[in-house]
Amino acid sequence: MYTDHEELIELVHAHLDGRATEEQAFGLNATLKMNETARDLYLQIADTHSCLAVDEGLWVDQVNDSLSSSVQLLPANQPWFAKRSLASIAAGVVFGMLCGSMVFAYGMPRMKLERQRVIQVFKESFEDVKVKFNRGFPSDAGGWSGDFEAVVQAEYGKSPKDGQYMARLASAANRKFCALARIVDLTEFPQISSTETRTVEVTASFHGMGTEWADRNQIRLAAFSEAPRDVKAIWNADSRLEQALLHLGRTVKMRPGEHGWQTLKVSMEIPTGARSLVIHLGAGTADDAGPKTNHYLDAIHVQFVIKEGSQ
Amino acid sequence: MTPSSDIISPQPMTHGQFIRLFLNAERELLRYVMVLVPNVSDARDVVQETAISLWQAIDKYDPTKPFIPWACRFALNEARMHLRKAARQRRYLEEDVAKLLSERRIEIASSLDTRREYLRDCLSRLPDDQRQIVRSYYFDEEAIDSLASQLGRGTESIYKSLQRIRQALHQCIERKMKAEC
Repeated sequence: MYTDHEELIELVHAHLDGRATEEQAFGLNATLKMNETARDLYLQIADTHSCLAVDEGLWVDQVNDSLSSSVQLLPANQPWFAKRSLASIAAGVVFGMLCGSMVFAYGMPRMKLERQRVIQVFKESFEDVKVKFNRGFPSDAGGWSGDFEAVVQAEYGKSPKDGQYMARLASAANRKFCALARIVDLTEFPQISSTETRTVEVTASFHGMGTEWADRNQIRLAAFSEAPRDVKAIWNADSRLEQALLHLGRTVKMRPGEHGWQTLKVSMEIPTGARSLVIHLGAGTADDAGPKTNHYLDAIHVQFVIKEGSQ
Repeated sequence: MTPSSDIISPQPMTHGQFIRLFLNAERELLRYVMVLVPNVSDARDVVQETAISLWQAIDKYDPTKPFIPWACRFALNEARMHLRKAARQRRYLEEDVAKLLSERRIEIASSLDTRREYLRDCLSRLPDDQRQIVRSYYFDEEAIDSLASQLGRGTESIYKSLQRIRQALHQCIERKMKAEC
């Protein structure tokens, strides 16, 4: 029997990974028979193990719905979470039963439906202090442009999320919301085949000034069929949303007085025919009555996930 | 009108109704089974067997009561049968232990659901590299060997990482549970 807490935890993990020896399994069974506290610990760790495998919702963007407002503007795609294995299994089981044959039911679950490869687009942690940032929306693909004020080290009690530096944003005089944007020229990346899908995943970390007012942080993504240098005119026009092939975003409000970095992740399947991809990162005070404050941005990571749909 | 005419005889459940019920419950069933049969592939087999048992007994189901607890009883039976078959390998939970765990799980179900809510937040706080390992293993169902080769590490090292990450998640959830009190 295992009485040492740490030893028991290690044993439970070994059991969950299918690596417990006969002797260990015997000890685990004996412990669980005798000790309710051990049973509780086992159930807690094993349930986490189950949820990680079963609950696809855990892998969707980490957003508290009650605090967030989606700004999804066009029909959402089915990003990389479109994994329907269990439902397919269930349907297969039932179908199999009704047909009097279980061949189909047993065939389904072990199919590996998708293969994927990942292409890094860029990582940005603003470590290059000499880099120049343009104002306003970017005119072409490549660099960041927007309400950039300075690349700074730790200041006002805020430390970079990644590396030694972070970007400080300050909104223009007439706006409370500040933003950085960048255009990715999709022709610079390998083309995908007709059986593949390409999803962009964008992660970025935001930090407010920690006032008593709630901040809101936002990632927006938009795909256009136009060349990068033609996107600015579209973006600045009222009709930009109609012209985008696909456009989605996510806004998350922090609680008033909540401190620390907030990391958002958004993904979007890039539609066929897209030539340019806009990545737009914004932050501001959530309440219109709130003050205009600086915001920090760091640890931006953009990657494409290419998935092959065929078996 | 006679008094008995007010009583509506229960209608037999149609295939479609059963499929809907089962599809709504299947994730919870797999979550339940994986506690007793941790290997996801084996657990899916158990859930499939459970689906068959449920269909065979569906006329005994009382639709005024929740489906999942009723279905979990069948899942427990199937899990125990699986453990019985695997008993010769002596590396699995014993049947009576599975029963004890199942009984206790019912008692602490609401606490486990709270922990599940906290898990989402704890997962988001993991460093990217750790989160990626967990995602690859659990969500993408990458084999440990394949994960090790992708990351240029040994399988033992990946197992250790997984164990550390799960433990970190466990501790994070514990902190939140304590803060809630």
